[in-house]
Amino acid sequence: MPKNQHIHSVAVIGSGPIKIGQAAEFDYAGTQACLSLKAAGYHVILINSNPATIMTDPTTADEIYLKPLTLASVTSVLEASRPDALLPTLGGQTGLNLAMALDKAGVLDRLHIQLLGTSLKTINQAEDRAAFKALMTKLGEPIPASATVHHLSSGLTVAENIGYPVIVRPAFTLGGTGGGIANTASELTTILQRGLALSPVTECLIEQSIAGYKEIEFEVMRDNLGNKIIVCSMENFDPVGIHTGDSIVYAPALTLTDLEYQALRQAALNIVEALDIKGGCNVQLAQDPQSAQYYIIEVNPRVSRSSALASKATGYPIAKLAADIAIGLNLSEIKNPVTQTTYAAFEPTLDYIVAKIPRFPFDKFPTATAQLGTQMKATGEVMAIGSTVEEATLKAMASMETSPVEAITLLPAQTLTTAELITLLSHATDQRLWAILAAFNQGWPLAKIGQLTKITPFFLSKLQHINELTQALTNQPTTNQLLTAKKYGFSTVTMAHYSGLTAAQVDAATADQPLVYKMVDTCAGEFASATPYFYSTAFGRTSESQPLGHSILVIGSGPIRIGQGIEFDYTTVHCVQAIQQAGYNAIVVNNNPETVSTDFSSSDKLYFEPLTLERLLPIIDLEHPLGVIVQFGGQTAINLAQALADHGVKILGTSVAATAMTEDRQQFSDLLTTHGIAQATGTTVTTLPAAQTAAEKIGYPLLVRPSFVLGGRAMAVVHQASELTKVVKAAVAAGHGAPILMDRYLAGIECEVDLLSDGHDVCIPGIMEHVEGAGVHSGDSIAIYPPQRLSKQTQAKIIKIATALGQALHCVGMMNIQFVVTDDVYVIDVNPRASRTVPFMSKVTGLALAQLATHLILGQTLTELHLPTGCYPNHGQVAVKAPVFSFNKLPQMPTKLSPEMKSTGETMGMGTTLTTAWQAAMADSYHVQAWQTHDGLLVDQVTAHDPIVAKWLSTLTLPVTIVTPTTTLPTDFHGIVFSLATNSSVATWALNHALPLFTALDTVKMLVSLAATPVVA
Amino acid sequence: MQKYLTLADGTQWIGTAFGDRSIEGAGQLVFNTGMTGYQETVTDPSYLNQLIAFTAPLIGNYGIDPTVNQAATLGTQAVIVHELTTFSDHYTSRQTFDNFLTIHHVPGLQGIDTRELTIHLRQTGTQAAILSNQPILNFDAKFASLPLKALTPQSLPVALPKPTQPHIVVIDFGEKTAITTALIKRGCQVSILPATSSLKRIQAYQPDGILLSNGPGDPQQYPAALPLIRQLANRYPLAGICLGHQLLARAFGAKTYQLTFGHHGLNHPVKDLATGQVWMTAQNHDFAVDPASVTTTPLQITTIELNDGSVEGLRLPGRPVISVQFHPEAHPGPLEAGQFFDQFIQMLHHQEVSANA
Repeated sequence: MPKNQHIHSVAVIGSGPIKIGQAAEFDYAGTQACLSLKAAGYHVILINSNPATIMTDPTTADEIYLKPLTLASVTSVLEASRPDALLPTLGGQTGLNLAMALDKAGVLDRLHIQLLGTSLKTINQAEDRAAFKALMTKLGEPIPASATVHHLSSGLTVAENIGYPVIVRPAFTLGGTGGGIANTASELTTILQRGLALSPVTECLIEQSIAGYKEIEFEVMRDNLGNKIIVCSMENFDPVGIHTGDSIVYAPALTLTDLEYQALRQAALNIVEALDIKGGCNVQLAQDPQSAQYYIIEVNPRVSRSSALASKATGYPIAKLAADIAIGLNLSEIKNPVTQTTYAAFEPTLDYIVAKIPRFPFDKFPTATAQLGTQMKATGEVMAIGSTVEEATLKAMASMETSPVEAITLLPAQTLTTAELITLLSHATDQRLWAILAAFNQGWPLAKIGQLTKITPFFLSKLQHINELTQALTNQPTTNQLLTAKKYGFSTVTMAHYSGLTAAQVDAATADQPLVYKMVDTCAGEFASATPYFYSTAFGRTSESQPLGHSILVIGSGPIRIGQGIEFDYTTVHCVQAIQQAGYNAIVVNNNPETVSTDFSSSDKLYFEPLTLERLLPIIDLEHPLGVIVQFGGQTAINLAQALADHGVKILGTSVAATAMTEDRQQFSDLLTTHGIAQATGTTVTTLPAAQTAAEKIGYPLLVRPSFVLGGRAMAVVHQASELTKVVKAAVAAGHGAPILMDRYLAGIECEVDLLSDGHDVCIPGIMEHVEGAGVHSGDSIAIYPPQRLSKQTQAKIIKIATALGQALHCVGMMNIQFVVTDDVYVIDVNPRASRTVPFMSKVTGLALAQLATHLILGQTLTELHLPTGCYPNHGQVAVKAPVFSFNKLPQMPTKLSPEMKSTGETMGMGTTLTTAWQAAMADSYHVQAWQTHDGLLVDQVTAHDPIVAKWLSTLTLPVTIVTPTTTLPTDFHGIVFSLATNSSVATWALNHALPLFTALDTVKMLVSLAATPVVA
Repeated sequence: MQKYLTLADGTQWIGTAFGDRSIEGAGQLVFNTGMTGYQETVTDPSYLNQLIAFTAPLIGNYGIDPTVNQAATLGTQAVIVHELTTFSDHYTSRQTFDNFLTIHHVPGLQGIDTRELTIHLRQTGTQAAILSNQPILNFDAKFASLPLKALTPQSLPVALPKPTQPHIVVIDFGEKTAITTALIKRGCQVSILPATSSLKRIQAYQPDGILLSNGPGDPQQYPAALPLIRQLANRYPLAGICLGHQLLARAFGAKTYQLTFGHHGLNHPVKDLATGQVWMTAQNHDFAVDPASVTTTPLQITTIELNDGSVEGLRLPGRPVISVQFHPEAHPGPLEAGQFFDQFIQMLHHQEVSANA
């Protein structure tokens, strides 16, 4: 079928801010699809409120609307841009829900907008539980016994009939939010109440539990002719009962016989056919490990996190082809972009093993419930490719960046008692993989671990093998044992740890079995391919990767976690683009399957590898790049700079010495003193007694933080001596022994700048003023550009200081500086790299900052790039960057904003006034859409009794409801909720009812003050 | 214990032995890209006297299920894998793959870079190879010294079928059990007769249709079968699968040729020329029908392999005669091509109707 000639412009809805359950995978999918639509000659109109996305770059779409993803906002964009068609399946659940809302509101009909790809009828049939059940019954495909309920009482009756345990699945929620497994009526009551509250249609499915079955996923593509293929099968390590986003996943499926595989495959194809899918579709199934019985779990009629994983696992670009199908093409006429000689209508076959391990935020938030279930909690994931299950697993573990001790020993950081192990094995948390290895290490039999975990023994046997290899290294550290361990993916540091040899000795003993690089080619070598996509293995003889020459290597940012998010993938991709513009080959090393940077078509060559020294050095040895860029991969890349330089690797941009200077307390303090720059009184300590002495000297309140950590991990404001011990201990633990910093806490206006420098001159794109004070992490603060409360003189001083620091450090590339303005301008932090705010400032100024910085790193000057020195002029727009939290996915996580970062994503609003920009930013961040002061404010008693809050409340004219623990909460409240309490039941209530929840006084003050101002149209 | 894989062009891989450690094997070396179904693959009689190298990195994961063998004996000369799994917890497994090969006297090689081997075969084409216990000094002499295997003929049918169900006589060139199973599942009765059977003998079984099975080797090596096939095609509804398809083509004057490295996998797209539909098929063949030669015969090409355009299906216009190069019976592989059997059985009924008319 030729491409659709009846349409000329296509609108694409993005997925908005990053939150748990809906993350960077939609930037990857959206970008790929938009580029494909553009390449086909369509005018692409994009709506997404997330500035930290490649899809919102001017090169990705023709018209970009950084507007809220609400019905009203999207309607007005469609009215203004008048697209011929809308492609709704690329923006995750947000995109689908908006498309359905647009249809229901008659907007699509009224504006004559045609829907492309899978139809809304199909979407509804797959998403609506009753409709889905009816279809499965018609097809004869087995599904667990279930019933849809809208009330608690009917839910309890249904569960009685089905029999416990039952699974609760709320309709139309992100990442299965609000679901869970209930073993008793009382557990069901709790889960069902939450589920009904979270479901936008107050609907939940009560389902027979098939927990313990093998969970298998298929990524299916179907075209307009009805041709269907399986792109990838995936098998969850964790059995049914744990959300696939929170499961360790392997590709391809490894423990199914051909009979089972083909039965499940055929079921998936039958469903996709019956649904009339046109594009990509995810089908999840459960296989009984003891019989041929299987069940269909669910179907997602769109691109998803799993489709991103499947694309990276196979090389097959699902989103691109989904877009091609949407515009009328068929698989049998599209070339396979990987081989470029065969067609897209085939099923990729793998000659390697892929492992995905989710990345959770529990290392930062130990109080949050780490129990895994049907509700997703992971913020990101790592993927690794190896030629054995062991190698893929170990490479994925090496990519996690959770605990350096765990990375070396492959065991939990603490020794666990039998009771602790039993708990960790029987109740899945983020720690289970390590706990299983610990159990093997303590000599537990496989059968017992299998019984407790319900994990397929095949997978356990692989972990047992890993443990056996560690023991063999300890008992007999021979060259043969080292070679075997290396062949199965052991890192040098782990081999050194267990063998008692030095890393150099290990490397020397295994030098004859070097890492080789194999290509990801979709076809197991059957067809010649030129895909620039490689992984390493020690279990192979020949390397297929030929050095590119004239190349620059870029280190990516690894898994998405709170504190290091998609922003760093955005900057990595921009860095790559600039390297290519400058005429070099760009090589990317990264391990995150969700992102644009790990799309092999984003760079000249992709190595999908752990970001560790020992995995990087052989790549550098092979490629001989002109240099390595570490400024765009967040703290992950910066932390590798020194070690790489020590091995003779050329780090491009700001020198490693200057980088170290910003991170060494004393050197940094001396630098500020030399330049007459104000800083908070402070010191560095490594022990608790030293911290106590220092605290007396500095005085309270003071700020405590470990050095070299992300997102303000274990950072806290200490108001009195009694709080100090706990905070210091946490900081020492989080910093893994690195010195902790103690500073006088400065109460003032916090602001920050990103700067560009060629080593001599400095250009500051703009100053961002934070709404919240210095006690709130900058990543959780609302940033306003240009500043609203800073005097001209103060702004000038900030520019002067930034320029001085850029010059003093001979910054080449980018740097971020954070300030507190009180009586003077104090510098509180310098990050010698691209920061979280780079995408925001890039969108605001229209300057592709990371690209410009890369050109500077490659040797150009500011003058050559036509950049001014000093502050870049503002063009009259006001922009507001606001954080997005995933509190509703992480029960028991503290909600009050603090120096420890909590947000998972960001949104931005722009306008000609602060008020309009603010309102736009509020929609997708705090979900404040039509709030007016008379809708009121609800505060809990604890918060209301805080003296500062009480004083502010007394000045308000709007209706304020103060609730006590015994107050019955209102059923029809449309206002906003404010709570500073820890473990606040009011906060939980607000989250369950999807009410705007504010947890910092400065934010809510600003909201109220701007709401009082009449809006200028 | 080490084993040596030596190719005719002199390239060599050294790995660890599994299966029958003592035995050596020689034959044509092919690679198979399937990710499931190693047991069905190694028991497929079409692999007679070939060495099979799996591209899937891990083989043996779910052990051996005694119910899925495609033939009673193993014709393969050797099995080559990247990594062998000896652990199996699958509920249908009765023994390990290693053990299974030992019992059937098939040698195995594990622990080599199978991707390197695959790429080498892709570039140089299928070639003779030896799996030996010692390094090879004289390839040709060693090759000649190693015995060829033969397929065990299937036992003859014991009774005449009931007249109530369609009766298919399978002409056995090395039939996969799944073909019989697929026919029985669709309500047919099946009698399997050796490929050397005379027309008269076949007629004695009163078939409603004939199926020419798959089988090993070069279709040029079956000249004796061609006249029989012509006779059968003129008398009965007839279907051919794989070798059966190639022989049907040759019977009507078409030519066959050897592919560079064959099609051995479960992901081959086949396009129906009438509808444009593409479906995934299991394939296992080194030879194919020359499309140019088909134009000189009464046959028509119905389906092609999407990627290399090779002939995947034929029909004889005016007669209920159809054939496919791929494996509609699957086992291993995708099931959707099973529609070929439905089409064949429909032809039988259609024939009945016309016969009664």
